Amino acid sequence: MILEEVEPPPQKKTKLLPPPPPLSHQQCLSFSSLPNDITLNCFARIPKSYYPKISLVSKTFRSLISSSELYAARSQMGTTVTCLYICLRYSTDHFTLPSPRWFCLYVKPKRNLTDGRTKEKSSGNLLVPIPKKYPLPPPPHASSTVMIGTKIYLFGGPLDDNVRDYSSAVRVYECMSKTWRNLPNMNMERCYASACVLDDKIYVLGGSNASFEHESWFEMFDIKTQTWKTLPANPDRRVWLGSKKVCKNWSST
Amino acid sequence: MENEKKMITLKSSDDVTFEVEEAVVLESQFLSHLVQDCPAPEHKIKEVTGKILSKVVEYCEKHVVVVVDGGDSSSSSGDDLKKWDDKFIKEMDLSTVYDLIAAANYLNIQALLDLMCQRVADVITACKDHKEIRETLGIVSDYTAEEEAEVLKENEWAFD
Repeated sequence: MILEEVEPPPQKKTKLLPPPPPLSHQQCLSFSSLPNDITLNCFARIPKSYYPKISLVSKTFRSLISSSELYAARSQMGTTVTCLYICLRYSTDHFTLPSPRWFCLYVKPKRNLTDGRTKEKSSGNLLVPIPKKYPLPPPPHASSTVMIGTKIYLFGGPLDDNVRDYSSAVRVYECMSKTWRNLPNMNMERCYASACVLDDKIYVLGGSNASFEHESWFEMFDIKTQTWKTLPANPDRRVWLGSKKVCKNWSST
Repeated sequence: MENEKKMITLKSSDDVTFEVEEAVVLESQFLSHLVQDCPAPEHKIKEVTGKILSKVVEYCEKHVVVVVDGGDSSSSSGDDLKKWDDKFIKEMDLSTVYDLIAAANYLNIQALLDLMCQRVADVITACKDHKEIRETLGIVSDYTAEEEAEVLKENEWAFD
């Protein structure tokens, strides 16, 4: 956005334009009276580092800021930004076992931006902790972590109760609302399973105690219907723990 | 180029009339459908006042002129247009911006709508804190003191 002072451009005299009319029919709209899609159009033009400030304005603003519609508006406008999520595992004192803490790498907003320019001015980067709410965030396991749009999916164990490695739990992190939530469980308990995504479906296989001939060894999660379906395992393929390549090869053949 | 241009009259809610070339009207998707479906010489736009319609017409005339003359005037027509847009929005108070957003939304003039939304975005980013945003946009907070403190805590990293 160019906001520097400019000379008035040579303007063609418009023909037949009447003088400004009397202001008898003032519409006097307020910002709040504008429809949500307009508000989102405005927000999508603002650097993300301003969003905490906007969230504090009102509940309506806050819910718009964390809505998937805003992400859609940013996508349409080409203003989406790539965010880096990091999970660190540590304990806060000597008496507790280490637990995973998720952070998002954030460009720190520069305060007191008085010149009204929209250009993002950073005063450094920050690791911003993701709020700790139920369900607790799981530790990441690269092979069974899948990212789609603004969501991070994690399939099975190990979970963070430090007891169970094998689990059928599925958790998804919603980057917009900054919350983890549970999805329907898999049919099989897994640990370090392999997962990959293809056409709105997530394929999860292996990471199980059972043999690969087990009927639930290979499962598919349909994102649209949020349901699991068991698929026949491919007896010619052997999936090693944490292997993703095998899964990809399998998908493309 | 000098063939006769078809003129169309637009009438605002408060009966202010604007005579414009058809090409200007076509900048609005709503009006171009209206003109196609109903080839009358005058169209009343009940939802838009004369004050706002004059701005809409001014914007559309400027933008249509540049598109038509772009080839033979100069290569900087894009830059000129951008400068003109900047000046156009800079001179406008926020209540006019809202009215113009509503009009551009109704008349379906995407470029004008985007320009006005950019203006609002610039206004928001220029505010130093949430209180100033409330004041500037006339928003009444619906947070309780506790809720606001909680959201502030959640985002405290941003306000150091």
